[in-house]
Amino acid sequence: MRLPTYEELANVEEQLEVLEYPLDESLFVVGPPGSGKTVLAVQRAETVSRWETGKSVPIVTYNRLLRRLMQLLNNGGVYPRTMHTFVWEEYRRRTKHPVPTEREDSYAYLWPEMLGRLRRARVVPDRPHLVVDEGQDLPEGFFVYASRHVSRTLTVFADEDQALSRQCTTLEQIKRAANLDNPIILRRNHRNTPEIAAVAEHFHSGRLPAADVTRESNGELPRLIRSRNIDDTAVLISNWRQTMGGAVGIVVHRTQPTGVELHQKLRELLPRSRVNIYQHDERNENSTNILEDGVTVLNKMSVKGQEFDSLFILELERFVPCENQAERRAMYMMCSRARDNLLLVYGPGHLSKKAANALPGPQILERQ
Amino acid sequence: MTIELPKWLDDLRQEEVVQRVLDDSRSVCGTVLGVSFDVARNEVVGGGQASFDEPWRDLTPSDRVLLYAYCLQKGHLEELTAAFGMLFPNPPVDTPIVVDLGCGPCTGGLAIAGVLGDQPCFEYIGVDRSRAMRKLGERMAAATTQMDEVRRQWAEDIDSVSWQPTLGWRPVIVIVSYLLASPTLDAANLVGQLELLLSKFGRGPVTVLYTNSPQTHANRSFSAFSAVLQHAGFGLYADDTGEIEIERMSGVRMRALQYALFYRPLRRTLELGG
Repeated sequence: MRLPTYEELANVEEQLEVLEYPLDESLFVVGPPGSGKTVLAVQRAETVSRWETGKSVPIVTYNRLLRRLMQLLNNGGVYPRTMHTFVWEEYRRRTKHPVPTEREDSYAYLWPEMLGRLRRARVVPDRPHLVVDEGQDLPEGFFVYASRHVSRTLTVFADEDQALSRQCTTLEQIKRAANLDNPIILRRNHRNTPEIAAVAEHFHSGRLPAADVTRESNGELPRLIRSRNIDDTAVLISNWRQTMGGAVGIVVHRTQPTGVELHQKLRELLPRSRVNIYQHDERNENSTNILEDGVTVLNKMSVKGQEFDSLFILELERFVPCENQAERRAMYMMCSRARDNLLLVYGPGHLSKKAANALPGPQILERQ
Repeated sequence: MTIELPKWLDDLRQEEVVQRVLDDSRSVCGTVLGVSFDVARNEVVGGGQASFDEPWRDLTPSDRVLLYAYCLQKGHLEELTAAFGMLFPNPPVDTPIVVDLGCGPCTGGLAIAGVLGDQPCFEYIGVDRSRAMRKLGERMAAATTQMDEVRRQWAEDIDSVSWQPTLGWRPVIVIVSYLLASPTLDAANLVGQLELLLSKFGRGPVTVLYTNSPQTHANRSFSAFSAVLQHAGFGLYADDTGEIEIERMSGVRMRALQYALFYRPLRRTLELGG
């Protein structure tokens, strides 16, 4: 009898890794939190840029803070933009017209009207490549626009299991609209400890398998903490930051008023640390160096795509019980932002019975 | 090289099978449980294809499966030990899920446990339509510390296997030995049920090991099974007849077998409609 060894069999599966994928071919990648989508997106754009002898490659994403992160990760050749800014600039450049929008909402682009004008003006793609991150949060019309009028070659990263809005674009819609092949799945989580991944996985629903966690345990269970008031919360966080160091993220339900008040108190308690608050409507992302050690206060929408050594999710009672799939996805996304430590804080009142039941058990989430 | 079972497995077989048969008050005048060895193997056990949950004359279902283990299990354990020994010179990194289709008395589970080092850790799903066979399988598995870290479940058929709905990437090892001799087996249906079960586990790599006697009737459903499996994306990495060297009281001899190995890598492409 002669059989190959299991290692020999496993080596047969020469998978096309994202970075080795032909640069002149479109690529669709899906992957769970921590699988490195954003870093891979930046690296792919940089590689294409070098291959295209220095032409800048646009990389489009959902929110401004993620755009900022890409800018910080960028070693050259990458042109990070939010979807709204990119389309605004690009559409104007190609048609000499402003983007048509809903009367009441300048962010609500009228895709059919735009596509009609571009088609009539025979605007053909003129960019060698376009990279998209967090594709599930961008509208379907964007993908039609991008593939027909921006670039014939797209690289799209997405994870519908983390989609924040109920109107997210499904993977099928992205595939169809951007004319892509079936996506490759990234299967390893390089960010979270196994303990943090277990809490995040508790809230996971969707069709992607749970990622294989590559990190070793640090022996720290994520914690559930009750705080009596915002002063106690501020002291808890400042003590944590002074003891543990590193990058600390603080997610609040809304930055006004809780986030702003907490930010003030933390600045007083941590005079020698970087303490930033990111507020979407203040457009202050460029003054926030999220890769540097320090404290960053931000909301649910802005934390998407970011990662922190320690993450505090405050006002937990606002996020659980998860009444629908979108709220479950939000908890899954938020918990998986933490690299080493995850702390869920509620109070001053008790959690409702329903909220408490929605949390993982004490063997996964330590009660304090 | 002569295939030897690990000592713990040989001891387990002696205690739970051989001694129980020989110590039985009916085993007199060279009989086993009151019947000759030939009758036991050919009629009570039916070459492995009997309806074990029905009594045979005075023998209960428990008696019949004990005789099955007495007559046939050692050779099966040796074949699978040889196969797994080649497949796993090193234990796999991830904790595998082992699905033993037509598991008999935990034959595939015990064989793989003997190859994956001391106190191996894997999930074992034994599927056998005979309740008495599953019961003997659990008794044997529970009687050895070697299986302490092995989480076990037993099911009458593939559809009855229960699984937590968490998808993952764990490797799956499917043992389909001695099953394809059944004249009533529908290979397409079997692979369809298996695919449904695999989809509940997730998208990890799947290895399917097949062994059987080289006699034609024992492999009558193999070609259909192989075709359906390859259609489902499995590669065929071995398909041959061969032999292993075994030792019996009469001395060393060769045992012939038919074997095949299928493998499907982990599925990293998400198939979307449209």
